[in-house]
Amino acid sequence: MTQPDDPEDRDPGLAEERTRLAWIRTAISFAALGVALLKVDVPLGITVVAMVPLIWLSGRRMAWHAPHGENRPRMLLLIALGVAAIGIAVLVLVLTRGNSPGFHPPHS
Amino acid sequence: MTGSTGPDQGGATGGPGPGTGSAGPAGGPRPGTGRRGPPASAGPPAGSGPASGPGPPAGPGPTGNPGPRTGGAGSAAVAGGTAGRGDTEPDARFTFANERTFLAWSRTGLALIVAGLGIVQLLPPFPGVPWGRHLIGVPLIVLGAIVAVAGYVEWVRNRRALRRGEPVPRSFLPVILTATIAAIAVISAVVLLLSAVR
Repeated sequence: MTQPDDPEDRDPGLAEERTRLAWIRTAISFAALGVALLKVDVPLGITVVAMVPLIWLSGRRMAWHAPHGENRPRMLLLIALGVAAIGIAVLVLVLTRGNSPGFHPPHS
Repeated sequence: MTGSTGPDQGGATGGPGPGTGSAGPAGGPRPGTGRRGPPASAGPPAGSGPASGPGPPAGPGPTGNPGPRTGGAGSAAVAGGTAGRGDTEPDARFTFANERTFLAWSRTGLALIVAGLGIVQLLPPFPGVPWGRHLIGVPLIVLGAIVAVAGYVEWVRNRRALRRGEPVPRSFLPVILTATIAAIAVISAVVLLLSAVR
């Protein structure tokens, strides 16, 4: 180790770090949607919020392991199917629930 | 979100040129440049010579530090026997860029779903157009689910192309997204007009 510890050497283009951050952004997106869903349907919201730590941790696992692990397609497929399932659940919710009065600010 | 999708797509589709350009090492007289160059070309040699182990075959590594990514690519080429004949693991940077693109599309899908949910549940009803909110929100939710699944399909296609050294296939997602959003804009305008002339 004659060179200083340059992150560019360990991680060219910081691709790995950017990918880890993308996983974290995705987890935060799930969290935002889950909290919004808590206002509409509590069980569905809890389900979505419960997915957040799984996504966060899998992003970290992905970063630790080689980028070509065999479980990678399965994990990404799970995420895609998760988003699709949330979409279908929200669709059913929106179509079966009666007309919502909408959100009214407190002062009106 | 769009900003993160753009560079990711560029890195995934642009081939080695833009990839290294966006990665920033181009022309940089950094000590690691000599090592950063080889991984792109070191994939096939590592695949053809699996017995060479994780050490980079062309590694001029002055520090003797092979770099985890290079080692990962080499060992993955060994383990990638299920990938089929002639397939080699691409530079890890392309794999990561492909993955980030997929994640960006997933977030886009989530954002579309949350937008549709917000329109239907939080917006006050359009006077005179009771189904107006559903007309705007439901297509957004459906589009969100489609975008997530299509993003995975594209990830699989891109990975296959990268492994075979073929050009990355054209993405059909931007067309879907643009067309649907334009259609939703038209629907929104119609609903607003109907509500106004009620």
